[in-house]
Parts: sequence; C-alpha cells; structure tokens
Amino acid sequence: MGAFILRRMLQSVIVILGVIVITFIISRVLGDPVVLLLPPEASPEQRAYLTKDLGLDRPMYIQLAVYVGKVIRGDFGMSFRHEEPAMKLLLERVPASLYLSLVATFFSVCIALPLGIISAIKRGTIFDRIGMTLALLGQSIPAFWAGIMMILLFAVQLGWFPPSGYGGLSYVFLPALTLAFFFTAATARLTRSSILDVLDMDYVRYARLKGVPERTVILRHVLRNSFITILNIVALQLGLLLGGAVITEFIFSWPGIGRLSLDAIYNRDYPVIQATVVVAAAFFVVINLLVDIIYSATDPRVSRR
Amino acid sequence: MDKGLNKPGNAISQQENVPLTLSEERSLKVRKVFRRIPKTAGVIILLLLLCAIFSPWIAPHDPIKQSLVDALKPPCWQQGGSSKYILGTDNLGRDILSRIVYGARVSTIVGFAAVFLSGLLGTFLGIIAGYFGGKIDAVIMRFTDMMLSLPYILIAIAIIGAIGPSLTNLIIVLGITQWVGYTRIVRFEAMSLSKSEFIEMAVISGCKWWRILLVHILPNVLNTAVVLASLDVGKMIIFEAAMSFLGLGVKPPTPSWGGMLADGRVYLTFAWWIATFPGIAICITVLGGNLLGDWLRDELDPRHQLKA
Repeated sequence: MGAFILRRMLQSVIVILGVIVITFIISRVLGDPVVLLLPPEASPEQRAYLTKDLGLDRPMYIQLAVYVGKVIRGDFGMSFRHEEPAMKLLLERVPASLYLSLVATFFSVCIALPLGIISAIKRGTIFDRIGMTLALLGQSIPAFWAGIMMILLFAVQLGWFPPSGYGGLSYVFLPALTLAFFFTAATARLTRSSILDVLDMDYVRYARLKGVPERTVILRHVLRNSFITILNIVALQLGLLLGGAVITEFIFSWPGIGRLSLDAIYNRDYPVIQATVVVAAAFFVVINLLVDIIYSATDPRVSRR
Repeated sequence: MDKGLNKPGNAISQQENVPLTLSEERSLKVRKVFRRIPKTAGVIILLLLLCAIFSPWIAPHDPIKQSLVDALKPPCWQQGGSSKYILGTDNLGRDILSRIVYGARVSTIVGFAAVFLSGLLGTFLGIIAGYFGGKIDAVIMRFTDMMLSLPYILIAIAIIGAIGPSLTNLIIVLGITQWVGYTRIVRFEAMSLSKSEFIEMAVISGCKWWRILLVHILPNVLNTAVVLASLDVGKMIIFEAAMSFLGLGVKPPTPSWGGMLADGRVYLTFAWWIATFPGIAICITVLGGNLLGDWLRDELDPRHQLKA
C-alpha cells in the first residue's frame, strides 16, 4: 500500500508540474505582456526596459524555470489590472467560493444519493423509472439556463430569494442549487450503476441465500461496499465545481474565484488567470489523491492494480 | 422509450447462431440498430436536422431583421402578443421562433463537429497508448491526467478570449479540451486487444504497426468511441450554449441559442419569453441526444448489456 501511495503522489506532482508548464506555454502563446502593460504610445526604450525588467529577454527555458520556481512558492506575480499580487486576489475570493461549493455539494449529495440508491435497490420498479427519468431530464437541462429560470420563478415572480448578490442563506440558495445542477444528475446515475455492480456480487447473493433480511443485506453488505465508490464519484464531481462556478457566479454576481477568473480573462490579466488555473488543477489533483489513498486504505485490491 | 427491449433474447440467439465473422456481425448489428432507434430520440434529432438544413423555409421571419416597433412583444397567447410573432420578439424586435429555428444550425454544426474532432483525437491517442504501452503509454496517460485536472471551461474561455470568438475557433477549442474521455476508455480496450491472438498473428506475419492500429485495432474500438461520441453531443451543445452565453461563441447577430439566453437574461424582469424558449430548445435537443446515446450504449456496449 505504501508503494502505491508513493507512486500516486509522484504522479500527482508530475501532473501539477505539467499544468504549471501548460499555463506558461498558454500565456506565452496568447500574447506579449509588454504590449499589454504599456500604453501604445510608449517608446522603444521603455519597451526594452520593461522586457528586461520582466526577464523576457532571457532564453525561454530560463524564463520557464524561473516561472516554475516562483509558482511553487505561490508567487504568480502582480495582477496587471489591480496593483496586488495575483495570489492575494485569489485568496480573498476563497471564502465566497468555498461557501458556495459546500452548500452546492450538500444539495447535490442530498438529491443525488437517495435518487441513485433507491433507483438501484428498486431496480425496474416505478421508483427506478421516475428516478432515472429525472436524472435524464436533469442531464439534458443546461445548468445555467436552470439558474436563469430559477431567478425568473423564485426571485422575479415569487420574490422568495434575492436575484443576485452575496450574503446569507437566502442569497446562497439559488446559486448553490444552480451549481449543484451541474453534476447532480450524473452523480445519481453513477451511484445507481455502482450499487447495481455490488448487487451482482456473489457475497450479496450468498447473504440473501443465507436468509439475511433484505434490509440488512442492503445496509450492511451493499451500501457499505459501494460507499467508497460513491465517495469517489462525489469527489470527482467536486473537481467540476470550479468550471460550473464560472458561469454560476457570472449569473448571480457571486464574488468567488469563478467570477475573478472570468474578469481576469476579459481583462487579459494573465497572472490571475494562471493562478486560478493552477490552483484549481492542484485542488482537483489533491482531492483525487486523497480519494485514492482512502480507497487503498479501505480496499486492499486497489493498490495491487 | 423502448430500450431494454428483448435484450436477453438477443444475447441468446447470437450465441446459438453459427459464429459470424466480425464484419458480418457488425453489419448485422448496424442493421438492427437502425430498425430500432427509439422514437422520441429519432423524432427530436430529425426535427433538429430539418430546422438546421431548411431554416429559411421553416422560419416565418428573417432572424436578424430588427424592427423596433415590434420590440419585446410577448408570445401570441399572452395579452399584447400578436399571431405574427408566435413566441414573441426580443429587445430588437427580432422574431424568437425564427431565431430558434436558425439557431439550430450553430448547435448542430458545433455539436457534431466538436464531437468528431475530440473523438478522433482521443481515439487516436487511446489506441496508440493502449497498443504500445510502456513509456508512450505513461506519457499519454499523464497528459490526460493533466487535461482532466485543468478546469476546461476556464481554458476554453482563455483561449477563445485570446484568439477571438468564431464558430471555427469554438469547435477547435471544444475539440482539444474534450478528448480525454475517449483516450482513457479506448486505451483500455486497445490494451486488451493488443494481447489477443489475432494481433500476435498480425505481428508475426510482418504487419506494420500503423496497419495493425488502423486495420486491426481501430475497427474493434470504434463501437465504444461511437457510444461515447453520441453521449457527448448533448454535452457539446450545452457547452456551446454556455460559451455563446458568455459572449465567446459565434458573433452576433448570427442567432445561437446561448446568445439568445444572454440577451434574455438582461430583460428577464419584464420579458420572460426571450430567455425561456431558446433554453427549452436546448433542453429538447440535448434530451434527444442523450436518449440516443443511452440507447446506443445499451445496444453496442456488451458490458452494459450484461448489466442492464
């Protein structure tokens, strides 16, 4: 198990380094920072000075090495737009994003898990059909449109919730539901199929043959064994949070990382874009690593693969 | 929905038959597939294609003709609506129904082209990784891990923001950010195929590697790729709408469903119909794609057949 975890950690480090290199390449391909930072009427001397100051006159591989070295220490440079370090801007947005994601995850888990579990256990019955039809519909509705429609219904027509802004539970309700929309349907379907896998197992059949009450079979044998797979599914969906958050935060004017990154892209504020991409990727990689560690700790078969 | 129809019967009858060659079996399957396309999905996709191809004849009005006198007219069944504009007009007096009909073009083109591009790229990398294994496999797999961990919406937005929004750029960006799923699954299949006897025979008889990949491995992983692709069409259409919604898709005034949603969002408080109807169009289209994809998966993917 130790060797497995070590290997996975090494892989994760490689992936994060790769992502850092990719952000470097993307930012270099996308445009010359000197052109962006200086007004068009700047003199050639000023341009040359800034080029030297930013280290852009040095060979590409040295620039890359310097960049990677700084990023590892959390230094993405100053934001082009605001006179502050990009990392600081990002960290300021973390609480709002965390708040939104946690509530969204809570909604998603509360809807998706019961739906998936009941559909699987009652396979072929009316519950299964209703559950899976709901999931199919959910997968076919664009989450951002669902968000707009919820604003229309609950904020404009009924006036139950504020249409946008940052604040307490009444403010977070609609954005969180919208964000949850991005992955609830997929989670429900994956949960159902993972439980169906376990239901086919010999030990479940054996338990039933032995005369164990169905309730106990489900609770002790089926749910317990599919729990880790379900945890894995939920964790993987967490990685999609930021992508969904970009549009959700745009619709609801939510001051999170998604909104920050979208503004940064519109303003061509590369340090901020790089910071959000690298941090989001690192977050995703770390969550996956944690899930794999939990996985291998609870199921010895995993690390032998 | 008639998925799940006589599935066990199928499996048994195929076992009892004289063993068919791979290509015979495939053509038999293809024929069966076309005969049993689920009605709902078939109708929706047919409708979408009709709208996209024959939009000038179907749409009652010119989708980009503005008429400020008729701006913000509600749909015909509401007070103030006229039968001239069945689903109402937007803030510039353009007919919503006509714009939805024309918008089917963008969705269809982007949906299919992006899926084709990403499927091609992903399948190609997948068979290479699976067949060669070793270092090549490790490099490709780490690369897919990276792509998977990148927040692809951000990457897509950043690239479009730099190279400029257009239909072609959107297709390219969607294509190069969405191939990972194909690679991971195709690699797995190619890996087990490469250990099978007929591949060994091909190697022994001096078959070149590219021939093995294209003639022996590719046809055998195509089923899987097609299933994934069909499930992806809906996702791509939603993605296109999201990008157009953020102003990074096709340029206005070309009608696209996502762009219409963005217009409608601004006027949400007093003109609900602008954002509502294009959204419904997206939902129905994506539902059609998902139904077709689910059913194709049940038909073509033997692993799911056993489970269902």
